[in-house]
Amino acid sequence: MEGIFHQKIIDKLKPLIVEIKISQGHGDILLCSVDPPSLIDEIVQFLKQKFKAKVFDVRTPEDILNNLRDESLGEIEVAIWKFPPSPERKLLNTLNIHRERFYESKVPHVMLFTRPFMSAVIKDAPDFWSYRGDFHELEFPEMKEDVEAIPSVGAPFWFRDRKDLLRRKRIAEYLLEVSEDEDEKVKALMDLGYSDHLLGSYDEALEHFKKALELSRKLYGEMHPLVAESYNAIGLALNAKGEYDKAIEYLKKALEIDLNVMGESHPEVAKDYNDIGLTYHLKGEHDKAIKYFQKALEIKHKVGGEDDPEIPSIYSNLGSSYARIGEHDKAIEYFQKALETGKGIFGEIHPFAAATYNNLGGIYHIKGEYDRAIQYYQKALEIFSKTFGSEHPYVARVYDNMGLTYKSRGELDKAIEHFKNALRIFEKTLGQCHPETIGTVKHLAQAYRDKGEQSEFERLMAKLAELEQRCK
Amino acid sequence: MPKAYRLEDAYNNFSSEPISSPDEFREFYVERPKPVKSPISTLKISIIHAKKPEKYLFLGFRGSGKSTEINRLLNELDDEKFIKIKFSIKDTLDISDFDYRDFFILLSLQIYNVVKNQKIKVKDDFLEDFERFLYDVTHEAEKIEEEEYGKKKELEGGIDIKVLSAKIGSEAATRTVIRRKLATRIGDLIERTNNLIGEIERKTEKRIIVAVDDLDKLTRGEQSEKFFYTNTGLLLQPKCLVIYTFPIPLAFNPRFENVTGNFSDTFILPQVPVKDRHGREIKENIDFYRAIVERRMDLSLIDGAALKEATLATGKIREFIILLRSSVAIALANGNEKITENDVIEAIEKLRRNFDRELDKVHIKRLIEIHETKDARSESPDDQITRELLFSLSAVEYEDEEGRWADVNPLLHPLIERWKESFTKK
Repeated sequence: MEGIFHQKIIDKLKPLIVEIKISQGHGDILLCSVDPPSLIDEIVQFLKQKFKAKVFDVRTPEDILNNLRDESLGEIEVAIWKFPPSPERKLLNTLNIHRERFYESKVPHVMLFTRPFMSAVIKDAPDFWSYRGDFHELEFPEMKEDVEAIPSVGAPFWFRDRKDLLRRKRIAEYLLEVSEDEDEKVKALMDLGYSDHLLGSYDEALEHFKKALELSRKLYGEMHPLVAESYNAIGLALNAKGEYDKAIEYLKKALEIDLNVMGESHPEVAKDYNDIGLTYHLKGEHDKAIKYFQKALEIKHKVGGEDDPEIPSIYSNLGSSYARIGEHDKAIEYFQKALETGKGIFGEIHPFAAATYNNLGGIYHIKGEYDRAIQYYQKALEIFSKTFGSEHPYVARVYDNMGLTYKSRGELDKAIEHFKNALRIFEKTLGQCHPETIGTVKHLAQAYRDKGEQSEFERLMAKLAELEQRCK
Repeated sequence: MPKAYRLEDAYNNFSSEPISSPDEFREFYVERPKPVKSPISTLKISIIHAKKPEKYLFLGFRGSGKSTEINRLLNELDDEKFIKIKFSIKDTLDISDFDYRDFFILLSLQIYNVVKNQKIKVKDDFLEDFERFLYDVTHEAEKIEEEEYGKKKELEGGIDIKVLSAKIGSEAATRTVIRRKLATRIGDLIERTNNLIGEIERKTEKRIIVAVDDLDKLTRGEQSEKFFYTNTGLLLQPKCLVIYTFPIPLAFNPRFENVTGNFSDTFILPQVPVKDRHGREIKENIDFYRAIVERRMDLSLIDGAALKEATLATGKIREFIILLRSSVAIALANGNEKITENDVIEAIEKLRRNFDRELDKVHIKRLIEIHETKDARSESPDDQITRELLFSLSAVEYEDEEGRWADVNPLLHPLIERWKESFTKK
């Protein structure tokens, strides 16, 4: 069972395990760069199962020196050192100066660093770096899926909260019933779709968008901006359902029509690029996504200004992609830009701000700055709950992300509580087969495993296996 | 308001304000001569039979009687079939700091006002949606958050239109907030306004017609042109019948032909010249001006020669009325019992000096050309000089059976020889 989680990690850890074995009786320094940092604890757990180990959580230079004096070093097979996520000059200096003392200890030392810390070691503790026994890149980009970004929350219309969306939905339903104007019916169907989408009812949204597409094609033919808008909206709904390949097909159709009808330098074309980028981002093709986002941004800057409501969304998406490729500072910069421009357009208490706070939380989680991550998640949770209500997939996503952070901080009860909240909302709003729901089941199972509650862990793993079978 | 038999009473009857009430129409309105007749009757037919929310352009020179004609049209439309809204930018906006976003917000308030004033039972969702949005765009974000999630609920009871309109018209800070927020949300505003329009029309089974007046009051000619040409798409979006009255120089812009096709129809209110392009007096039109005077005061209150002098001096309705009002005041100041020729000449001189003061040499040179060629078409798309002359009424365009022709404002004719001499001397 456990293999489901760890196979990839185990494969990558094999050379390290071999090295630990052959280093017995030697004070070899085995440096490891771990990304995402949330995996550090998992690696520690794994090594502890394999070897007689002692774990040193380093905060100050004194911790290094005191631990090196620890008499029990002679009784263990490996010393595992955990370092803070952000490099600190004093720690780097201590490592650099006292490098030889590790060798004198006659026990292999596994040093687990975040990527930024490792870069600083190479640059600022060069003697320690050159003194290393070996270096392992324990990097698992796909594991970064753990912390879910929320795609920028935009809408082609103004709204501030759930109440506005529900009202808009009622208006659209009413207009669909009373209006004799076919154009107005297309608009009402689109409005119904957008409202449902934002309310988290993606199946209903898709149904309305498809009806809008059918009617608009009948009224205007294929090459019309409203037809393109329907294709685009269907693409976004498919995105939300996790059907990315299908989504790209629809989004590219929208782009093709908009390019044909309006030419390259048009805000709608920029929106199409942004939405396609978002899908590639969700598919994990971040370099491709960034290219699309940059294209969108370039057009928006050419045809409008920073006041364009789409611009914060593009910044936010760029932030999410940069976060995924490990360019954390760039990601933070874009999220901050999104927050800044979004504030002027949507205000502070708006789902857009909440999504950005969630994404900032995610990046600080990746950087291992868990307290800061929790602060941002709490802001996101507060605003989402106020604006969308407490039963929205985005609220669930924030709960899930918070759970991951609590888990990384070792607060397993809190983590379990948050995963449970997330799971309840995901199951209710997205159903059991949605990738988000399945992801949260995994997270919850991991937390129970870490807590040592084997029976609950096994129950969830069985559920997971059943879901993976059923939802194929 | 009744016809005056004393000069003191006549003064108020020569008001430059357009005729508006049915009583005023009955007392003062004079049908225009056939060759320069008002297009209002055609516009009225077009409106009555319109199936869609048509948009009309109503063009005319400043002071040619556009507002009066619009008032007449609205008076004549059946109250049982139409909800009529006349919306004047001059009454509600700061015309020296005019922006399309202020315009659309006030237009939307006019529609909202109909619901409130006529107590129309529209679906609550439409009103709430409109109010929430308007509240959002007229307040700073911090304030909204504090109020929204605190105790205060300003929206209960709806929007105070008078207060908000006054704020938009007079508070630069409010305008700044609105403009910034509406820069990206103008479509949201129009959409909500359209929702209200649709619901009002469904519930009352009447059609809404909005007449937007006084766009020619914008402080500079190019201000109204800019508003028109950069916002054509938005001007077409309200889902009700709309008549936009614009100053006629708008049509002299070479871009006009490209844009005008988007509107359902364009109606032009012609000037009523007193002389034709060859300088011959047009009796029918002179009689029209005489009838205007006769409706407002007994003709015994003005010398025949004075009336003739006044009529031939202008050839534009509002200017003529202002001249008469000024003449009444001068006559009273001179202790006369009736208006004399000298009183009129004094009033004309006063008006003429006002024009002359504003003209520089470039303008004067172009005015001489217009006088000699009888043509005021722009020399190039960038010909601001001609447009300024037409906007200020220093030059006036007319239409006759031979087509468009132009001349210097008759008031300025006596100055033409002097201008020419000054150029020759140099």
